[in-house]
Amino acid sequence: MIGDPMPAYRCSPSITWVKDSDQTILVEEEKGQSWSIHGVEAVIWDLLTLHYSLGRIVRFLSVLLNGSKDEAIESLLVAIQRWEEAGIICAMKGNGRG
Amino acid sequence: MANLVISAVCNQDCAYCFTVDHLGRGHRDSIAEAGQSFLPVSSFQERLDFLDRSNMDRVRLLGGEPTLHPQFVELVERARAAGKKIVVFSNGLMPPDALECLEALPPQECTVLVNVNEPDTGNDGRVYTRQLEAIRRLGERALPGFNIYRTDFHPEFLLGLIADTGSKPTVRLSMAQPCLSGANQYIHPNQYRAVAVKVARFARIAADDGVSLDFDCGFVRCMFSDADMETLQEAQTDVGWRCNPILDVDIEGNVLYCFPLARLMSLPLTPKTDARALRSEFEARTRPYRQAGVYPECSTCPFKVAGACSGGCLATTIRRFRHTPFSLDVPRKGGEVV
Repeated sequence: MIGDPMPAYRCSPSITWVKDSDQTILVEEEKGQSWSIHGVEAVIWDLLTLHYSLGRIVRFLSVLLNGSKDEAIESLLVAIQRWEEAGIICAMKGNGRG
Repeated sequence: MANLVISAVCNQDCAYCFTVDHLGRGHRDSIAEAGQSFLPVSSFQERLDFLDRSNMDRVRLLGGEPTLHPQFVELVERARAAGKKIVVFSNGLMPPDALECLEALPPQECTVLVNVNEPDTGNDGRVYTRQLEAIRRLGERALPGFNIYRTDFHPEFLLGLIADTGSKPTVRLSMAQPCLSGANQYIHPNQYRAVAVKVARFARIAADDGVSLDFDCGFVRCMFSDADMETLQEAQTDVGWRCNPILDVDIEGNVLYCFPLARLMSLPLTPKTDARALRSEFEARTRPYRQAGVYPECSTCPFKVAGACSGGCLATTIRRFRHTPFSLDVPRKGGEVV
């Protein structure tokens, strides 16, 4: 369970993605945009597309980064912020959980 | 280069046909009901004007089977009157008047790419006999084409065909690519290496008979080993690792990047558009996908990075992309994850 309040995000509906050997490529065809994500960010993307729960993602990142839960959450928040700024994900209306 | 689709009708039903998303079984009835099985002669001049605007001296007629167009001869005559050379993409099963018309054209101004399947594929030999007869009559106007759509292919029969018919001593080799729906049979990238070994072997045998190979789009450099490449060079194979907007202009006046990508996008043919502008638009719209290729390794491959290889067929590449909607709740800083 996650502490409240929590903003909710969703992946832009027109984003498609492919996992390459050293990066994940995201494409927004309608806007003609693409992004490459690497490393921890690519791992987070992978876990989200596998519909892992947030708690499970954080635990996974803690192990991957060999760090604390807080450090894992921080990595997650950095990725979320970058993706939101890029338009890859967008905040959902209200403070909804889904 | 641009192809004019003049017939949505075909008298073959090849498993690998990449027009299936646009002209395939599910679409034929609606096309026929709309009366759009064939390009109206009145629209053909618009197509010729487009070729003129694009500085193209060849009329490349495509289908379906283009020679089934009821006014095929008239279309060829109009194109000739406009000073165009003729290229026809055919399966060789032509109505008599179409064959007579084409065999009467000067060989240097007419090429008929005749796609031939292995003689034992799905018929009792009558199809192959008819194709052979058409190629014989077309002589050096005919360019035999062969589609690889499974790994157990045997193209050696084409050498006998060329010797028997007097066609061009070249085989146009295509590797079947998927349309975006994946409804046709095609070669998966995991099978490319197996195909390459047989292609290199065929190139060597063909060279001994004075026959060269000419690669269609979609081949990738890495499918061939260095030894294969030496063989292909010795055999004077016209290799290419390209995937560009071909521009297929359909009966309704929509321009496609190519048939396999028909579902992705089309652009309207207007009285002012030319091929250059259309290509630029297609290239811009598909550029985001071009970071990737048919393999996960393509994006860092030296051949692709240097521009020596396109990374393979764009339809195959796009089929790798996935759409996975997800939502997430995230903790604010200091939030608790239990």
